[in-house]
Parts: sequence; C-alpha cells; structure tokens
Amino acid sequence: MIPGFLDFDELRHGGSLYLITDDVASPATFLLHRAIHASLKKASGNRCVIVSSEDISYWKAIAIRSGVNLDDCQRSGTLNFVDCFDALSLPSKPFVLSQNEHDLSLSLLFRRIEECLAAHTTGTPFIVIDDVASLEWTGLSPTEVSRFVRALVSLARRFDATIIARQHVLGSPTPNLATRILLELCTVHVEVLPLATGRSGAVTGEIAIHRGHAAGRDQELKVVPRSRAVQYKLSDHSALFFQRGTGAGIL
Amino acid sequence: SFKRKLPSSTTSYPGTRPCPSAPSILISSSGIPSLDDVLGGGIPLSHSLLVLSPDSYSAYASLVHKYFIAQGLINSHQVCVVDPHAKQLVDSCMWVRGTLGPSSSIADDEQEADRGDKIKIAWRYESMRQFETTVSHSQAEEEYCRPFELTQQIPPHIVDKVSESGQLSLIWYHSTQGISRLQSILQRIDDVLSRTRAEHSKATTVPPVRISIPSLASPHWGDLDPSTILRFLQSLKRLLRQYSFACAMISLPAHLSRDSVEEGWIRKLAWLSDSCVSFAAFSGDPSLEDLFPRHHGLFHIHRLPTPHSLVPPSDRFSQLRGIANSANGGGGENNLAFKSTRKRLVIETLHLDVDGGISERRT
Repeated sequence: MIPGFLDFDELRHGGSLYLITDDVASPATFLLHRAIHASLKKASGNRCVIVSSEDISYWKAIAIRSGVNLDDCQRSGTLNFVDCFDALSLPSKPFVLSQNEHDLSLSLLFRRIEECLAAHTTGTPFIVIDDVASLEWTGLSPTEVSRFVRALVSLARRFDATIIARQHVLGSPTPNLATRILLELCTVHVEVLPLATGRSGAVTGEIAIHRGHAAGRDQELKVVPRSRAVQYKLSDHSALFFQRGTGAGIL
Repeated sequence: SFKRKLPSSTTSYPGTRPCPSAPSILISSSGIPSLDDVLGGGIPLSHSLLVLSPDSYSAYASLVHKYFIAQGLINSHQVCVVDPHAKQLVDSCMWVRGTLGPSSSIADDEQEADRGDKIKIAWRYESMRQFETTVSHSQAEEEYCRPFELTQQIPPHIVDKVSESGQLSLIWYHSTQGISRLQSILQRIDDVLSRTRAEHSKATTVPPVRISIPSLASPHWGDLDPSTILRFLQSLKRLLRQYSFACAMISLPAHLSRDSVEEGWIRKLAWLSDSCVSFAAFSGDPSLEDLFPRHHGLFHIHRLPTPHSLVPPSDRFSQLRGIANSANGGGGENNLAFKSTRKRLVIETLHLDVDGGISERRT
C-alpha cells in the first residue's frame, strides 16, 4: 500500500485547481469523497462547498460509512451543498428542458457558490465541483461552461480557496473546449483510468498524476506518469492504492 | 451457491428485497433472473436503468420492458408505461404458466441440445455436473422473480383489471410536442409518485412504482436533439431520488442506441443514468451469427448501479460476471451474451468453442 497517496493533506491554496478526469468505466467519485472527508475531518476549520447535480443523500450515505456526518457539518457551517440541478432550473419549472439560453444560465450557480464562500470568513475554503461535463451535455454552450470555469478559478483566488473539479472524458484524442480550459488552469491533473484489459476483481483502475500548466516550477509536486500509474481497488466507501504487481501483498 | 441473509427487521413489499450491500435501499426484480444477477440482485429503487438495443432488426429492449411490466403487475406494484402504443405493449406482455407448481425451467429447445451432447460425453465424465453458463431460477426465488414464459401471454382480464383499479397507468400526451411533452411527462410522473406517497403516508411500506419508457425519443416523440434527451434522463434520475419506492426502465430506439449519434454518446447516456446495459443482437452481422451460433447477441455493461456505495453490488454478488470469484486470483470479468429461447430470455457467459467444435474433425 502507498501511504499518504492522494490523501489531500497538503493542498495548494490561492485558487489552485485540482482537475480529476475519469471515464464511465472508472468513475473518480471515490477521490471526491476522499478529498471531502479529509477536509472535514481536520480540526483546523476547513470549509467545504460541494457543487453537485447528484442528490445530497448519496453524499451523506457514503460519508457516514467513513465516519463523517455531513448533517452535522452542514449545521456547523463547515459544509455547504449547492445543488447544481436546482440552480439551473426555474422555480416554476423544476424540470425545465428549454433550449432558450435565458432559461439555462450558470450565473445563478456561480452566485450561489460565491454566497457560500462569503458566508463564513474563518477556515480554509475548499470547493468540490462534481461534474463539469454534464453542464455542456445537457444544453449549455461550451463557451458558457468555459467562462464559468474561468470565473470559478478567479473566485477561488479571491477567497484563497482550492478547487477540485471532476471532468468526464469521452475517449476522444482531442479534448473539448471545457477540458482544454481546465487543463490550462489546473495545478494538478489527476487522471483516473480503467484497466486496458477490462474489469478485474483484484484491481479497479489506475491513477496517473500530471503537473498542470498552472503549476509552474513547483518542484514539490509529485507526478506519477501513466507508465508507472498507481493501481487502486475500491471497497464500499474507501480505496486502497498500490503499485503495479504488488496487489497480492495488499489484497 | 450464494445465499443472501436478510435482516430480521426487514419490511419490504412483495417483489422487493434489501440491497445486499446497502440494506437501506430496496431492489426489485427486472423479471429476468440473469439480468437481476448482473445488476447485483435487481434494479435498486430510486434508480434508473437504461436498456439499449442498437440493432434495428430486433426488439430485445422492448422484450425486456415487457418482463419489467409483467413483473410489476404480478407483484401488485404500480406500473406506469409512457409510450403512444403503451396499450399494445402491455397486451403483448408475457405471463406465468397457469399453475405455479414445480415445472421444468429448461425450455424444450435447450433440452434437445442436452440430449444430443450426452451421447458424445465419455463415460468417465457422466457423473460430473454440466458446465453452467447462467443462473438458475430456483423455486425459492420465485417469490422475488416470477417464472415468466414467453409462450404465455398476459390474460386480457388481468389487463382490464389492473387498468380499472389504477395499478396500471398509460401515459402519453398527444396534444403537445417535443420539449413540452417531455416536461408534461416528467410532471405527470412526479404527480403519480407524490400521490402514491401521500396515499401510503401512514403505512409501513409503500407499493413500488415502476416507470417504463420503452422508446424514448422515437419518431413519435417529435424532434428531440441529443442534449434534450440527456437532460431528460438527468431530470428523471433526479426525480427518482426523491422517491425511495420508484424505479424506471428507459430504452431508446435503435438509431439512438449507437455511438454514431455523436462523440461519446453511449458514455454520456451511461453517466446520466444510474445504470446502462445493451443487448447488441447479431441480426445485422451474419459473421457473428456464425461465430456464436448458440447466442443471439452480445450483452454489454456500460454502467452498473451503485446504491449508496462506491462499488456496484454486482461486483461482489454477480455469479455471471465472475468478478467476485476472480477477486483473489486477479482474473477478469466474463464475457456475456444473451439468447431468446422459446420460453425465456437468458443472459449467459460467453465462451469460445473448442477450435473445430466437437462435431468436426480436422486432420
């Protein structure tokens, strides 16, 4: 097992963006949960803002298995949950499917995130964006999504916050506009990959870590190239990480 | 064989049981035992299942929906079918044999193949159990997943009875088009679910509600672009989260069940549904029919349900997928295929025959 791998203990702040890309065969949901739980378990007063189109009950159910009670965190103000789906829907039309550009707008979502960050001034803020890709898939223009991403990074710099954003990739050799923007702005790019040989019982997937364009000359950043990707195996609420070929000793 | 242990305090409606990896979530049978196995026991309530059938010359997705509807009707679940031809679909559903006594679950065409193979087996192997390629339908499981037969059709008086009682709802809006129709359908589903919850607010259990959308975005639905379809799937998924007693099965027409729609289309569908599988029939590819003569198509898993868990229950409990058995040895997942016999639709493990086959001799 690799101790301290992706335990999100030493995150860079000041608007740093950690980009996590994944595939439907190897979802990176576990990494988002890992980051949130690590942040909320610290006694140093971190504040977490989760932006997700998934219902909060799912986040709570996973968290409670790791000993983190999100209800308590919400009550104490260390956690804010921004429902992406509700923010993009009109109050009178909860399931609006209109193609009218005025019906769907990321401005309201952005304002809600800004309000959450401004509500508390103590503690280190930490923003988790569950799914950027589906914003574009469900009707928003690539330009608006990329503007939203840039605005969010700027907002994070203003509040000295860290952003962890998940972007689904579709297997195309050419990333779309939102992905290109994210790659350009990120400090760290964590790539969660399925096994090339298909699903296995012993190994769930692999993780590679790349230096982002915004990392500059940060020598402390540890990269893990694809050729030496770390493998992981999931349980119901956590993950084990190990080097290739060492799985038998761990599992 | 694997046997699930149920908590003693479990109170679940007939035709449902607690999810093996998340007991707070109930699962319900799809009507097909092998599909239930692949999903990890059944379709989790408050989740959606997208069933794709990319072959234009077959209707396996429609067949799966008939199982889903029949399973709901026979277990007194509430069933909503959203389709302009919903009545015809329900009328053609399969049903169980008249008497639910012990009966052979092996179809006649399967039995004939077995008799033919027996002649060729050497005497020293006769006592060995035959290699099993699918899950069997045990009598103990019949309460959960009823033994439907394709040779039996749902009696008309049952269809009339469930229609009059309100157990079966057929939903369609002829006067609206496109996006407005989708919105009306979602609103109607929300109304049905909220009414069901209100009617059973003082009961210990709420009857499950099954929503079947057998042909979303077919030509009858009007012009719907891909982003609207994806938004609908996402909205339905969110709607189901609000109701712990409902589940949905959705299918798309063949031309929307392929990756050729747009870049990464199947992946997008899988992300915006809770689970996504496809029945890729061989009808359009004669070479595959010759290569796999015992099957009618390949079964692909794009996404599996993960109710309140990071790992799909299927990884631990599915016999067909074989991942649980290979966990220690590091083996891979089984390839799966399906076939429709005279009596049932079955998903099986797919194995290549011995080169040359057992009936051929090559020198």
